[in-house]
Amino acid sequence: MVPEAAPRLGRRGAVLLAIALAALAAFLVLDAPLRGLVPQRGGLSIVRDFFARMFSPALTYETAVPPGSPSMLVETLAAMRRTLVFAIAAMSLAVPAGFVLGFLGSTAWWSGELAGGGSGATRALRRSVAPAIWSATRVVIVAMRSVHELLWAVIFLAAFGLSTTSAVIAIAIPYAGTLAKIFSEMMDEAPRDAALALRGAGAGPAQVFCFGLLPRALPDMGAYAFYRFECAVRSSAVLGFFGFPTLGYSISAAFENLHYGEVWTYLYALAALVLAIELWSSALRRRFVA
Amino acid sequence: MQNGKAAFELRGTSVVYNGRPALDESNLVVRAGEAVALVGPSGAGKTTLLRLLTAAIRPTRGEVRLEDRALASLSPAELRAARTRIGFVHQDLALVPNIRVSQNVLAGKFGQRSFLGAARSMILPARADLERAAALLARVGIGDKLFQRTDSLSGGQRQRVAIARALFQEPSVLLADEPVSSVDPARARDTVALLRDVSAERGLTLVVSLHDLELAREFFPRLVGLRGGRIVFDRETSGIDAAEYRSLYRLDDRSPDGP
Repeated sequence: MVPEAAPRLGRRGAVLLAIALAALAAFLVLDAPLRGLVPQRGGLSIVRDFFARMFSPALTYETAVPPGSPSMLVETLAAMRRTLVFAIAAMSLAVPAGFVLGFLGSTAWWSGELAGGGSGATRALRRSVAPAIWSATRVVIVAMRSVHELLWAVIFLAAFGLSTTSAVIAIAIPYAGTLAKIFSEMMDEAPRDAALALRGAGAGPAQVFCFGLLPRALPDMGAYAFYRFECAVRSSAVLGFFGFPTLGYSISAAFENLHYGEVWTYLYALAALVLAIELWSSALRRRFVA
Repeated sequence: MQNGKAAFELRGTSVVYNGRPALDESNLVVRAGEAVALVGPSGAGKTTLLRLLTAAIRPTRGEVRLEDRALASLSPAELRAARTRIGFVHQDLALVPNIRVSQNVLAGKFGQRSFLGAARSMILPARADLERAAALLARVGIGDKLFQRTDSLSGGQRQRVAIARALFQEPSVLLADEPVSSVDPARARDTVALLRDVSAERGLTLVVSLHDLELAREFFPRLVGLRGGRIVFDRETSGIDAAEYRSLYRLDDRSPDGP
Protein backbone atom coordinates (compact mmCIF):
# COMPACT_ATOMS: atom_id res chain seq x y z
CA MET A 1 0.00 0.00 0.00
CA VAL A 2 3.02 2.27 0.34
CA PRO A 3 3.45 4.39 -2.78
CA GLU A 4 6.50 3.26 -4.64
CA ALA A 5 8.19 6.61 -5.02
CA ALA A 6 7.09 8.82 -2.14
CA PRO A 7 8.47 12.33 -2.63
CA ARG A 8 11.47 12.66 -0.34
CA LEU A 9 11.01 16.37 0.33
CA GLY A 10 7.54 17.79 -0.28
CA ARG A 11 6.76 21.41 -0.98
CA ARG A 12 6.00 22.05 2.66
CA GLY A 13 9.22 20.40 3.76
CA ALA A 14 11.22 22.56 1.37
CA VAL A 15 9.64 25.73 2.75
CA LEU A 16 10.31 24.70 6.37
CA LEU A 17 13.92 23.84 5.51
CA ALA A 18 14.38 27.21 3.80
CA ILE A 19 13.02 29.05 6.86
CA ALA A 20 15.35 27.12 9.18
CA LEU A 21 18.34 27.88 6.94
CA ALA A 22 17.40 31.57 6.80
CA ALA A 23 17.21 31.71 10.60
CA LEU A 24 20.61 30.03 10.92
CA ALA A 25 22.12 32.42 8.37
CA ALA A 26 20.70 35.40 10.27
CA PHE A 27 22.39 34.27 13.50
CA LEU A 28 25.70 33.75 11.74
CA VAL A 29 25.57 37.10 9.94
CA LEU A 30 24.69 38.92 13.16
CA ASP A 31 27.68 37.31 14.92
CA ALA A 32 25.90 35.09 17.44
CA PRO A 33 23.59 37.67 19.05
CA LEU A 34 22.70 35.20 21.81
CA ARG A 35 26.03 35.99 23.51
CA GLY A 36 24.94 39.63 23.63
CA LEU A 37 21.99 38.68 25.86
CA VAL A 38 24.28 37.97 28.82
CA PRO A 39 24.36 41.33 30.65
CA GLN A 40 27.62 42.99 31.53
CA ARG A 41 28.43 43.42 35.18
CA GLY A 42 27.24 47.05 35.34
CA GLY A 43 24.17 46.23 33.27
CA LEU A 44 23.10 43.53 35.69
CA SER A 45 23.01 45.99 38.58
CA ILE A 46 20.93 48.43 36.49
CA VAL A 47 18.45 45.65 35.72
CA ARG A 48 18.33 44.75 39.39
CA ASP A 49 17.77 48.36 40.48
CA PHE A 50 15.15 48.86 37.78
CA PHE A 51 13.08 45.81 38.68
CA ALA A 52 13.50 46.51 42.40
CA ARG A 53 11.13 49.47 41.92
CA MET A 54 8.54 47.47 40.00
CA PHE A 55 6.16 47.26 42.95
CA SER A 56 7.07 50.62 44.45
CA PRO A 57 6.51 53.23 41.72
CA ALA A 58 7.30 56.79 42.73
CA LEU A 59 4.41 58.91 44.02
CA THR A 60 6.63 61.98 44.44
CA TYR A 61 9.71 63.09 42.52
CA GLU A 62 12.81 61.19 43.50
CA THR A 63 14.96 64.37 43.69
CA ALA A 64 14.16 67.96 44.46
CA VAL A 65 12.44 69.88 41.65
CA PRO A 66 12.33 73.63 41.08
CA PRO A 67 9.71 75.34 43.25
CA GLY A 68 6.42 75.83 41.47
CA SER A 69 6.70 72.59 39.48
CA PRO A 70 3.49 70.54 39.39
CA SER A 71 3.39 67.56 41.70
CA MET A 72 4.36 64.13 40.37
CA LEU A 73 0.75 63.02 40.23
CA VAL A 74 -0.41 66.12 38.37
CA GLU A 75 2.52 65.83 35.96
CA THR A 76 1.70 62.17 35.25
CA LEU A 77 -1.93 62.98 34.53
CA ALA A 78 -0.89 65.86 32.28
CA ALA A 79 1.50 63.60 30.34
CA MET A 80 -1.27 61.02 29.98
CA ARG A 81 -3.61 63.69 28.67
CA ARG A 82 -1.04 64.91 26.13
CA THR A 83 -0.32 61.33 25.00
CA LEU A 84 -4.03 60.79 24.46
CA VAL A 85 -4.51 64.11 22.63
CA PHE A 86 -1.70 63.32 20.17
CA ALA A 87 -3.22 59.90 19.49
CA ILE A 88 -6.75 61.30 19.05
CA ALA A 89 -5.53 64.02 16.69
CA ALA A 90 -3.58 61.48 14.63
CA MET A 91 -6.52 59.05 14.45
CA SER A 92 -8.99 61.78 13.49
CA LEU A 93 -6.84 62.32 10.39
CA ALA A 94 -6.01 58.66 9.81
CA VAL A 95 -9.53 57.20 9.97
CA PRO A 96 -11.16 59.40 7.27
CA ALA A 97 -8.06 59.15 5.07
CA GLY A 98 -7.92 55.39 5.59
CA PHE A 99 -11.61 55.10 4.74
CA VAL A 100 -11.29 57.03 1.48
CA LEU A 101 -8.10 55.22 0.42
CA GLY A 102 -9.57 51.88 1.50
CA PHE A 103 -12.63 52.52 -0.65
CA LEU A 104 -10.49 53.50 -3.65
CA GLY A 105 -8.24 50.49 -3.11
CA SER A 106 -11.04 47.93 -2.74
CA THR A 107 -12.27 45.87 -5.67
CA ALA A 108 -15.86 45.74 -4.37
CA TRP A 109 -16.68 49.05 -6.01
CA TRP A 110 -14.43 49.01 -9.08
CA SER A 111 -15.21 45.46 -10.19
CA GLY A 112 -18.60 46.69 -11.34
CA GLU A 113 -20.25 43.68 -9.75
CA LEU A 114 -22.46 45.99 -7.69
CA ALA A 115 -23.28 48.23 -10.64
CA GLY A 116 -25.27 45.57 -12.46
CA GLY A 117 -24.82 45.91 -16.19
CA GLY A 118 -24.41 49.49 -17.28
CA SER A 119 -24.16 50.50 -20.91
CA GLY A 120 -21.30 49.33 -23.09
CA ALA A 121 -19.57 52.69 -22.80
CA THR A 122 -19.60 52.78 -18.98
CA ARG A 123 -18.40 49.19 -18.85
CA ALA A 124 -15.50 49.96 -21.19
CA LEU A 125 -14.65 53.06 -19.16
CA ARG A 126 -14.75 51.07 -15.95
CA ARG A 127 -12.53 48.37 -17.42
CA SER A 128 -9.87 50.88 -18.45
CA VAL A 129 -9.97 53.44 -15.62
CA ALA A 130 -10.73 51.23 -12.63
CA PRO A 131 -7.49 49.19 -12.64
CA ALA A 132 -5.47 52.42 -12.89
CA ILE A 133 -7.18 54.00 -9.88
CA TRP A 134 -7.11 50.75 -7.98
CA SER A 135 -3.39 50.09 -8.49
CA ALA A 136 -2.34 53.73 -7.97
CA THR A 137 -4.16 53.69 -4.63
CA ARG A 138 -2.47 50.43 -3.67
CA VAL A 139 0.96 51.96 -4.37
CA VAL A 140 0.14 55.01 -2.23
CA ILE A 141 -1.09 52.77 0.60
CA VAL A 142 2.08 50.68 0.53
CA ALA A 143 4.27 53.80 0.49
CA MET A 144 2.49 55.20 3.54
CA ARG A 145 2.68 51.93 5.42
CA SER A 146 6.22 50.92 4.63
CA VAL A 147 7.76 53.84 6.53
CA HIS A 148 7.35 53.47 10.30
CA GLU A 149 5.86 56.35 12.32
CA LEU A 150 9.21 56.86 14.08
CA LEU A 151 10.93 57.36 10.72
CA TRP A 152 8.18 59.74 9.60
CA ALA A 153 8.80 61.58 12.90
CA VAL A 154 12.52 61.85 12.14
CA ILE A 155 11.74 63.31 8.70
CA PHE A 156 9.18 65.79 10.04
CA LEU A 157 11.43 66.77 12.95
CA ALA A 158 14.12 67.67 10.44
CA ALA A 159 11.64 69.58 8.28
CA PHE A 160 9.42 71.33 10.81
CA GLY A 161 11.21 70.98 14.15
CA LEU A 162 9.58 69.88 17.37
CA SER A 163 6.03 70.96 16.52
CA THR A 164 2.87 69.20 17.57
CA THR A 165 1.84 68.94 13.93
CA SER A 166 4.93 66.91 13.01
CA ALA A 167 4.16 64.30 15.66
CA VAL A 168 0.47 64.10 14.71
CA ILE A 169 1.19 63.75 10.99
CA ALA A 170 4.02 61.29 11.60
CA ILE A 171 1.53 58.97 13.30
CA ALA A 172 -1.36 59.74 10.95
CA ILE A 173 0.42 58.79 7.69
CA PRO A 174 1.39 55.15 8.39
CA TYR A 175 -1.82 54.63 10.37
CA ALA A 176 -3.95 55.86 7.46
CA GLY A 177 -2.05 53.44 5.22
CA THR A 178 -2.62 50.47 7.51
CA LEU A 179 -6.26 51.36 8.06
CA ALA A 180 -6.73 51.73 4.28
CA LYS A 181 -5.27 48.29 3.63
CA ILE A 182 -7.41 46.56 6.24
CA PHE A 183 -10.56 48.59 5.44
CA SER A 184 -10.29 47.71 1.74
CA GLU A 185 -9.97 44.02 2.60
CA MET A 186 -12.96 44.22 4.93
CA MET A 187 -15.07 45.92 2.25
CA ASP A 188 -14.07 43.23 -0.23
CA GLU A 189 -14.73 40.36 2.14
CA ALA A 190 -18.09 41.56 3.48
CA PRO A 191 -20.94 39.23 2.44
CA ARG A 192 -22.47 40.45 -0.81
CA ASP A 193 -25.87 38.74 -0.63
CA ALA A 194 -27.81 41.76 0.61
CA ALA A 195 -25.97 44.08 -1.80
CA LEU A 196 -26.85 41.88 -4.76
CA ALA A 197 -30.45 41.63 -3.58
CA LEU A 198 -30.72 45.44 -3.54
CA ARG A 199 -29.18 45.55 -7.00
CA GLY A 200 -31.78 43.03 -8.11
CA ALA A 201 -34.50 45.36 -6.84
CA GLY A 202 -33.20 48.17 -9.05
CA ALA A 203 -30.99 50.06 -6.57
CA GLY A 204 -28.09 52.11 -7.99
CA PRO A 205 -24.46 51.22 -7.34
CA ALA A 206 -23.91 53.93 -4.68
CA GLN A 207 -27.02 52.81 -2.79
CA VAL A 208 -25.99 49.18 -3.11
CA PHE A 209 -22.51 49.93 -1.77
CA CYS A 210 -23.50 52.25 1.08
CA PHE A 211 -26.55 50.40 2.37
CA GLY A 212 -26.09 46.81 1.20
CA LEU A 213 -22.36 46.23 1.55
CA LEU A 214 -20.90 48.83 3.92
CA PRO A 215 -23.15 48.00 6.91
CA ARG A 216 -21.79 44.43 6.79
CA ALA A 217 -18.18 45.71 7.02
CA LEU A 218 -18.66 48.60 9.47
CA PRO A 219 -18.61 46.65 12.78
CA ASP A 220 -15.29 45.03 11.86
CA MET A 221 -13.91 48.31 10.56
CA GLY A 222 -14.91 50.06 13.78
CA ALA A 223 -13.33 47.37 15.95
CA TYR A 224 -10.12 47.53 13.92
CA ALA A 225 -10.01 51.35 14.11
CA PHE A 226 -10.30 51.03 17.88
CA TYR A 227 -7.42 48.60 17.99
CA ARG A 228 -5.34 51.03 15.91
CA PHE A 229 -6.29 53.83 18.33
CA GLU A 230 -4.79 51.74 21.10
CA CYS A 231 -1.62 51.35 19.00
CA ALA A 232 -1.62 55.11 18.32
CA VAL A 233 -1.57 55.80 22.07
CA ARG A 234 1.56 53.66 22.37
CA SER A 235 3.14 55.31 19.31
CA SER A 236 2.33 58.71 20.73
CA ALA A 237 4.01 57.74 24.00
CA VAL A 238 7.11 56.46 22.18
CA LEU A 239 7.40 59.67 20.17
CA GLY A 240 8.13 61.31 23.50
CA PHE A 241 11.65 59.89 23.22
CA PHE A 242 12.19 62.48 20.45
CA GLY A 243 11.20 65.25 22.81
CA PHE A 244 7.46 65.52 22.22
CA PRO A 245 5.80 66.11 25.61
CA THR A 246 4.10 62.71 25.90
CA LEU A 247 4.65 59.91 28.44
CA GLY A 248 7.74 58.76 26.51
CA TYR A 249 9.43 62.08 27.24
CA SER A 250 8.83 61.64 30.97
CA ILE A 251 10.01 58.02 30.80
CA SER A 252 13.25 58.83 29.00
CA ALA A 253 14.01 61.79 31.29
CA ALA A 254 13.41 59.71 34.43
CA PHE A 255 15.45 56.82 33.02
CA GLU A 256 18.42 59.03 32.24
CA ASN A 257 18.35 60.35 35.81
CA LEU A 258 18.16 56.76 37.11
CA HIS A 259 14.79 57.58 38.72
CA TYR A 260 13.45 54.07 38.23
CA GLY A 261 10.48 54.62 40.52
CA GLU A 262 9.28 57.44 38.28
CA VAL A 263 9.84 55.27 35.19
CA TRP A 264 7.52 52.64 36.66
CA THR A 265 4.91 55.27 37.50
CA TYR A 266 4.85 56.48 33.88
CA LEU A 267 4.83 52.90 32.53
CA TYR A 268 1.85 52.06 34.72
CA ALA A 269 0.16 55.26 33.53
CA LEU A 270 0.65 54.14 29.92
CA ALA A 271 -0.66 50.66 30.71
CA ALA A 272 -3.67 52.24 32.42
CA LEU A 273 -4.40 54.31 29.31
CA VAL A 274 -4.23 51.30 27.01
CA LEU A 275 -6.32 49.24 29.42
CA ALA A 276 -8.97 51.97 29.63
CA ILE A 277 -9.27 52.06 25.83
CA GLU A 278 -9.48 48.27 25.73
CA LEU A 279 -12.31 48.28 28.30
CA TRP A 280 -14.14 51.01 26.43
CA SER A 281 -13.84 49.27 23.06
CA SER A 282 -14.96 45.91 24.41
CA ALA A 283 -17.96 47.60 26.02
CA LEU A 284 -18.82 49.11 22.64
CA ARG A 285 -18.33 45.77 20.91
CA ARG A 286 -20.74 44.12 23.34
CA ARG A 287 -23.30 46.80 22.54
CA PHE A 288 -23.00 46.70 18.77
CA VAL A 289 -22.06 43.13 17.91
CA ALA A 290 -24.12 41.27 20.52
CA MET B 1 -56.89 36.76 -12.36
CA GLN B 2 -55.31 35.81 -15.68
CA ASN B 3 -55.72 38.59 -18.17
CA GLY B 4 -53.71 36.91 -20.88
CA LYS B 5 -50.81 39.35 -20.92
CA ALA B 6 -47.42 37.67 -20.60
CA ALA B 7 -45.50 38.68 -17.49
CA PHE B 8 -42.49 36.56 -18.44
CA GLU B 9 -41.46 34.66 -21.47
CA LEU B 10 -38.51 32.43 -22.25
CA ARG B 11 -37.89 31.76 -25.95
CA GLY B 12 -35.45 28.98 -26.69
CA THR B 13 -33.40 30.13 -23.72
CA SER B 14 -30.19 28.37 -22.71
CA VAL B 15 -27.75 29.15 -19.94
CA VAL B 16 -24.37 27.45 -20.07
CA TYR B 17 -22.03 27.38 -17.07
CA ASN B 18 -18.50 26.14 -17.74
CA GLY B 19 -19.63 24.26 -20.84
CA ARG B 20 -22.56 22.54 -19.09
CA PRO B 21 -26.11 23.68 -19.77
CA ALA B 22 -27.86 24.76 -16.55
CA LEU B 23 -30.92 25.49 -18.66
CA ASP B 24 -31.37 24.04 -22.12
CA GLU B 25 -33.48 25.48 -24.95
CA SER B 26 -36.38 26.29 -22.69
CA ASN B 27 -39.69 27.87 -23.64
CA LEU B 28 -42.02 29.19 -20.98
CA VAL B 29 -44.79 31.76 -20.75
CA VAL B 30 -46.05 33.02 -17.39
CA ARG B 31 -49.13 35.22 -17.68
CA ALA B 32 -49.77 38.23 -15.47
CA GLY B 33 -51.47 37.28 -12.23
CA GLU B 34 -50.63 33.61 -12.57
CA ALA B 35 -49.20 31.48 -9.73
CA VAL B 36 -46.62 28.98 -10.90
CA ALA B 37 -44.37 26.62 -8.98
CA LEU B 38 -41.11 25.37 -10.43
CA VAL B 39 -40.52 21.82 -9.17
CA GLY B 40 -37.72 19.34 -9.59
CA PRO B 41 -34.61 18.00 -7.91
CA SER B 42 -31.78 20.28 -6.88
CA GLY B 43 -29.58 21.19 -9.80
CA ALA B 44 -32.54 20.97 -12.19
CA GLY B 45 -32.27 24.63 -13.19
CA LYS B 46 -34.97 26.19 -11.01
CA THR B 47 -32.72 28.85 -9.53
CA THR B 48 -31.13 29.56 -12.92
CA LEU B 49 -34.58 30.13 -14.37
CA LEU B 50 -35.53 32.55 -11.58
CA ARG B 51 -32.26 34.43 -11.94
CA LEU B 52 -32.89 34.82 -15.65
CA LEU B 53 -36.25 36.43 -14.92
CA THR B 54 -34.59 39.13 -12.77
CA ALA B 55 -31.79 39.68 -15.30
CA ALA B 56 -29.28 38.70 -12.62
CA ILE B 57 -27.77 36.48 -15.31
CA ARG B 58 -27.92 36.73 -19.11
CA PRO B 59 -28.95 33.84 -21.30
CA THR B 60 -26.20 32.21 -23.38
CA ARG B 61 -28.70 31.70 -26.19
CA GLY B 62 -32.31 32.65 -26.73
CA GLU B 63 -34.33 35.42 -25.19
CA VAL B 64 -35.94 36.49 -21.92
CA ARG B 65 -38.93 38.80 -22.23
CA LEU B 66 -40.43 40.80 -19.39
CA GLU B 67 -43.91 42.27 -19.99
CA ASP B 68 -43.37 41.77 -23.74
CA ARG B 69 -40.01 43.49 -23.92
CA ALA B 70 -36.73 41.65 -24.45
CA LEU B 71 -34.54 42.17 -21.37
CA ALA B 72 -31.43 42.31 -23.56
CA SER B 73 -32.79 45.35 -25.41
CA LEU B 74 -33.29 47.49 -22.28
CA SER B 75 -30.96 50.38 -21.49
CA PRO B 76 -29.35 50.35 -18.00
CA ALA B 77 -31.92 52.87 -16.78
CA GLU B 78 -34.79 50.82 -18.21
CA LEU B 79 -33.35 47.67 -16.69
CA ARG B 80 -33.19 49.33 -13.28
CA ALA B 81 -36.78 50.47 -13.68
CA ALA B 82 -37.82 46.96 -14.73
CA ARG B 83 -36.09 45.49 -11.70
CA THR B 84 -38.03 47.72 -9.32
CA ARG B 85 -41.15 45.88 -10.51
CA ILE B 86 -39.76 42.47 -9.52
CA GLY B 87 -39.83 41.46 -5.86
CA PHE B 88 -37.49 38.59 -5.08
CA VAL B 89 -37.39 36.54 -1.89
CA HIS B 90 -33.92 35.03 -1.90
CA GLN B 91 -33.17 31.57 -0.59
CA ASP B 92 -30.59 32.98 1.84
CA LEU B 93 -32.94 35.97 2.47
CA ALA B 94 -30.12 38.45 1.71
CA LEU B 95 -31.00 40.87 4.51
CA VAL B 96 -28.51 43.17 6.19
CA PRO B 97 -28.36 41.58 9.67
CA ASN B 98 -27.00 44.47 11.72
CA ILE B 99 -29.63 47.08 10.91
CA ARG B 100 -33.26 47.41 11.97
CA VAL B 101 -36.11 45.47 10.41
CA SER B 102 -37.64 48.78 9.30
CA GLN B 103 -34.44 49.71 7.45
CA ASN B 104 -34.32 46.39 5.63
CA VAL B 105 -37.95 46.77 4.57
CA LEU B 106 -37.50 50.39 3.44
CA ALA B 107 -34.45 49.33 1.39
CA GLY B 108 -36.91 47.62 -0.96
CA LYS B 109 -37.75 51.03 -2.42
CA PHE B 110 -34.14 52.09 -3.20
CA GLY B 111 -34.63 51.46 -6.90
CA GLN B 112 -37.23 54.21 -6.99
CA ARG B 113 -35.22 56.68 -4.95
CA SER B 114 -32.21 58.92 -5.44
CA PHE B 115 -29.10 58.26 -3.39
CA LEU B 116 -30.02 61.04 -0.96
CA GLY B 117 -33.59 59.82 -0.80
CA ALA B 118 -32.30 56.36 0.08
CA ALA B 119 -29.92 57.79 2.70
CA ARG B 120 -32.75 59.78 4.24
CA SER B 121 -35.01 56.72 4.39
CA MET B 122 -32.26 54.87 6.29
CA ILE B 123 -31.52 57.68 8.77
CA LEU B 124 -34.72 59.72 9.07
CA PRO B 125 -37.50 57.66 7.50
CA ALA B 126 -40.70 59.43 6.53
CA ARG B 127 -43.71 58.64 8.70
CA ALA B 128 -45.69 57.40 5.69
CA ASP B 129 -42.93 54.91 4.82
CA LEU B 130 -42.77 53.60 8.37
CA GLU B 131 -46.55 53.24 8.50
CA ARG B 132 -46.54 51.28 5.26
CA ALA B 133 -43.66 49.08 6.47
CA ALA B 134 -45.50 48.48 9.75
CA ALA B 135 -48.67 47.53 7.88
CA LEU B 136 -46.76 45.07 5.68
CA LEU B 137 -45.00 43.53 8.67
CA ALA B 138 -48.37 43.16 10.37
CA ARG B 139 -49.69 41.50 7.23
CA VAL B 140 -46.87 38.93 7.22
CA GLY B 141 -47.36 38.33 10.95
CA ILE B 142 -44.49 40.18 12.66
CA GLY B 143 -46.04 43.60 13.21
CA ASP B 144 -44.29 44.07 16.56
CA LYS B 145 -40.76 43.73 15.15
CA LEU B 146 -40.53 47.03 13.22
CA PHE B 147 -37.67 48.57 15.18
CA GLN B 148 -35.84 45.40 16.23
CA ARG B 149 -32.40 44.58 14.96
CA THR B 150 -32.80 42.11 12.12
CA ASP B 151 -30.34 39.56 13.50
CA SER B 152 -32.29 39.34 16.75
CA LEU B 153 -35.13 37.64 14.85
CA SER B 154 -35.63 33.91 14.29
CA GLY B 155 -35.11 32.37 10.85
CA GLY B 156 -38.85 32.25 10.17
CA GLN B 157 -39.31 35.87 11.24
CA ARG B 158 -36.41 36.99 9.06
CA GLN B 159 -37.99 35.27 6.11
CA ARG B 160 -41.09 37.37 6.72
CA VAL B 161 -38.92 40.48 6.73
CA ALA B 162 -37.59 39.43 3.32
CA ILE B 163 -41.15 39.00 2.05
CA ALA B 164 -42.15 42.39 3.47
CA ARG B 165 -39.15 44.02 1.79
CA ALA B 166 -40.17 42.54 -1.57
CA LEU B 167 -43.76 43.76 -1.08
CA PHE B 168 -42.60 47.23 -0.02
CA GLN B 169 -41.17 47.55 -3.52
CA GLU B 170 -44.76 47.49 -4.82
CA PRO B 171 -43.76 44.96 -7.47
CA SER B 172 -45.96 43.50 -10.16
CA VAL B 173 -44.22 40.16 -9.81
CA LEU B 174 -43.11 38.18 -6.77
CA LEU B 175 -40.40 35.55 -7.20
CA ALA B 176 -39.24 33.24 -4.41
CA ASP B 177 -36.34 30.82 -4.54
CA GLU B 178 -36.91 27.77 -2.30
CA PRO B 179 -38.73 29.83 0.34
CA VAL B 180 -39.22 26.84 2.63
CA SER B 181 -35.63 25.64 2.75
CA SER B 182 -34.78 27.89 5.70
CA VAL B 183 -37.83 27.14 7.87
CA ASP B 184 -39.03 24.03 9.68
CA PRO B 185 -41.73 21.87 8.02
CA ALA B 186 -44.52 23.24 10.21
CA ARG B 187 -43.73 26.77 9.05
CA ALA B 188 -43.21 25.76 5.42
CA ARG B 189 -46.94 25.46 4.76
CA ASP B 190 -47.62 28.83 6.37
CA THR B 191 -44.91 30.46 4.29
CA VAL B 192 -46.19 29.13 0.98
CA ALA B 193 -49.76 30.01 1.94
CA LEU B 194 -48.63 33.52 2.86
CA LEU B 195 -46.88 34.00 -0.48
CA ARG B 196 -50.01 32.81 -2.31
CA ASP B 197 -52.32 35.04 -0.25
CA VAL B 198 -50.32 38.26 -0.49
CA SER B 199 -49.87 37.75 -4.22
CA ALA B 200 -53.57 37.11 -4.74
CA GLU B 201 -54.53 40.17 -2.66
CA ARG B 202 -52.31 42.41 -4.75
CA GLY B 203 -52.83 40.73 -8.10
CA LEU B 204 -49.14 39.84 -8.36
CA THR B 205 -47.69 37.24 -10.65
CA LEU B 206 -46.07 34.61 -8.42
CA VAL B 207 -43.28 32.25 -9.44
CA VAL B 208 -41.84 30.04 -6.70
CA SER B 209 -39.26 27.29 -6.87
CA LEU B 210 -40.06 24.44 -4.50
CA HIS B 211 -38.39 21.11 -3.92
CA ASP B 212 -41.40 20.05 -1.84
CA LEU B 213 -43.76 18.54 -4.40
CA GLU B 214 -46.66 18.13 -1.96
CA LEU B 215 -46.69 21.83 -1.09
CA ALA B 216 -46.45 22.75 -4.76
CA ARG B 217 -49.44 20.56 -5.64
CA GLU B 218 -51.50 21.88 -2.76
CA PHE B 219 -51.01 25.58 -3.42
CA PHE B 220 -50.27 26.08 -7.10
CA PRO B 221 -52.67 25.61 -10.02
CA ARG B 222 -49.79 25.24 -12.48
CA LEU B 223 -46.53 23.36 -12.12
CA VAL B 224 -43.42 23.50 -14.26
CA GLY B 225 -41.27 20.40 -13.77
CA LEU B 226 -37.55 20.74 -14.42
CA ARG B 227 -34.90 18.09 -14.61
CA GLY B 228 -31.30 18.43 -15.76
CA GLY B 229 -31.91 21.90 -17.19
CA ARG B 230 -34.95 20.86 -19.26
CA ILE B 231 -38.62 21.58 -18.77
CA VAL B 232 -40.13 18.10 -18.46
CA PHE B 233 -43.75 19.17 -18.03
CA ASP B 234 -45.65 22.42 -17.80
CA ARG B 235 -49.30 21.87 -17.02
CA GLU B 236 -52.27 22.42 -14.74
CA THR B 237 -51.59 20.62 -11.49
CA SER B 238 -54.74 18.49 -11.73
CA GLY B 239 -53.66 17.05 -15.08
CA ILE B 240 -50.27 15.77 -14.01
CA ASP B 241 -50.12 12.05 -13.25
CA ALA B 242 -47.95 10.13 -10.85
CA ALA B 243 -45.71 8.76 -13.60
CA GLU B 244 -44.73 12.28 -14.60
CA TYR B 245 -43.85 13.18 -11.02
CA ARG B 246 -41.78 10.02 -10.76
CA SER B 247 -39.96 10.84 -13.98
CA LEU B 248 -38.92 14.11 -12.38
CA TYR B 249 -37.12 12.46 -9.49
CA ARG B 250 -36.14 9.08 -10.94
CA LEU B 251 -32.57 8.15 -10.24
CA ASP B 252 -31.89 5.60 -12.99
CA ASP B 253 -30.86 8.28 -15.47
CA ARG B 254 -27.41 9.84 -15.67
CA SER B 255 -26.69 11.95 -12.63
CA PRO B 256 -27.24 15.68 -13.15
CA ASP B 257 -23.50 16.15 -12.71
CA GLY B 258 -23.24 14.66 -16.15
CA PRO B 259 -20.47 12.90 -18.01
